[in-house]
Amino acid sequence: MRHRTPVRQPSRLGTVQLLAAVGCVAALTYVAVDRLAGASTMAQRSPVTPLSTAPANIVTRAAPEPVASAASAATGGLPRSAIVGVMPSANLGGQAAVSPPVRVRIPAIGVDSSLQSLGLLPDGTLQPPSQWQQAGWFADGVRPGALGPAVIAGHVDSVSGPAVFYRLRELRPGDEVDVAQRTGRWLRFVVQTVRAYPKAQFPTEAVYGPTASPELRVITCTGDFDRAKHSYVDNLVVSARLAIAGR
Amino acid sequence: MPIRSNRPTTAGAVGLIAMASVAFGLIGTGPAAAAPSDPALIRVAHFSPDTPGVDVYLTAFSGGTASLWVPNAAYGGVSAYKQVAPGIYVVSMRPHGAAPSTPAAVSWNIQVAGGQAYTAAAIGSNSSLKTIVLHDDLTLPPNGTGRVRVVQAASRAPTANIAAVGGVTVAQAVPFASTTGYTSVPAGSWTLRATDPGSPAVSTTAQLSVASGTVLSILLLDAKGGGITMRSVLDAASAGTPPSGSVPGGGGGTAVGSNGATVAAVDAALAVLVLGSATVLYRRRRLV
Repeated sequence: MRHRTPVRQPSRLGTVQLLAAVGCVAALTYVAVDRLAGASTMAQRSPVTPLSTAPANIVTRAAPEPVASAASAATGGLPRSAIVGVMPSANLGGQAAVSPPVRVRIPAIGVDSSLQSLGLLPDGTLQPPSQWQQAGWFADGVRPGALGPAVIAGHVDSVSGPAVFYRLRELRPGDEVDVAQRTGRWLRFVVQTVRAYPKAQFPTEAVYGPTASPELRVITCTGDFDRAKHSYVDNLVVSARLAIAGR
Repeated sequence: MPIRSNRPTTAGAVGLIAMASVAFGLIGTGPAAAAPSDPALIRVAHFSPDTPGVDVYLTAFSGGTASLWVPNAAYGGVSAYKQVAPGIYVVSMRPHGAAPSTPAAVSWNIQVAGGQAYTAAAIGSNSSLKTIVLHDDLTLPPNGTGRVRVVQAASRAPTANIAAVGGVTVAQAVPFASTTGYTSVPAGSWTLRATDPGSPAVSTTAQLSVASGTVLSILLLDAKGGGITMRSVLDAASAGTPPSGSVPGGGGGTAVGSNGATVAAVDAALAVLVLGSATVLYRRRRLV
């Protein structure tokens, strides 16, 4: 842990600049609110909120997990930023239960698949989905919508043609990945990055490491096919962040 | 609240576009795990027991625009993380409701690197308020453990010890207005006890649930009705036992070989050849 000593802000600003800043604060407020909640697409921004009527985006609630932002979004608004209020110290650290996922849709590439539950194989690797055309989710890991990186995996192709995630490589930042929970609620994730990693240098930390918001890792294979190993040499990892819930 | 420095709000040509470019950072594709151009995560916290609510502003140091980041942050409050582009920012706090044009009560700089997470906090008594920047380690904790640190923000406990009953000590003689480094805590449900060695009457306990692969901050605070209290902030979480290595996923049916033919086509051609040969052999046998 690093401590930094406070650094004085150089007082190099004139009154005119300051006034200009004041003028824009109101206009920018909604951006801050939006960004704080991790709702990250331009298209989803609400209209400018004047400072005088800025929404009270302090939410006092029992636990800090962003799961609650999904719940607040279900009321129709964007997830609000939250200063977490003081909570009774009865039970610290836990996350509220999140309903398991049952379906994934990726409109940009025409994916609509139910989800098979996947576990770990004896060697610790992720069990591949048993069907070419059905995606799976890592059921021993993070549930989509809970804090952390939930994992959805699918085949890029079968032995004879395209499989469920054949077009995953076409995704771009800003595209949607929607996940239905068993309760019937849909969670919308927004693609942040699309990256290919050599399987031999798979970045466990970047893909499975802790995250500070509910995220999704949608994984398939890409790159050259090693015919001797009957396996692709690269993994394609689409990282997405929870944006909004409810439909 | 003392006035340390003022006017952190830099101005310039105003625009949402400028703000958006700051807020979004660079999202690219590439092989790096955490590229320097990845966004950084920052959040703000209020750890001063006798300081009323503050409005927190954030400004990009390099001629950015000031924006109200968190209104009316109160003692014990920790904001959600915000994604920003790597760079230097100015965090400033004003009494809640104060006009943005008024001098900030405190402001301080925070330099953030891509892919890293930080907590900017005001901590301590109002008369000697400290502004700090914590580097939050959100990397994967060792399997079967969570990573825990303590923010000692309880003025009623000049020094504090915090330990899991029958388990690890997470804070030892930590003075008010300071923070600890991280401690690995085995996953499980722990009874956490905070005591002030100099004042046995000051103590509190809480149940702490540590999931494998999580990062937690324990806040020791003055309780509203007197005494001290603890709460935790789940900074980040991951799967308890993540898969090891890469992910299998493909049969090769659309893979392109060196000559441009798909693997499936090559396989089909091979099959035809093999079957054909077998047929020829079979026929020859029959003929013989």
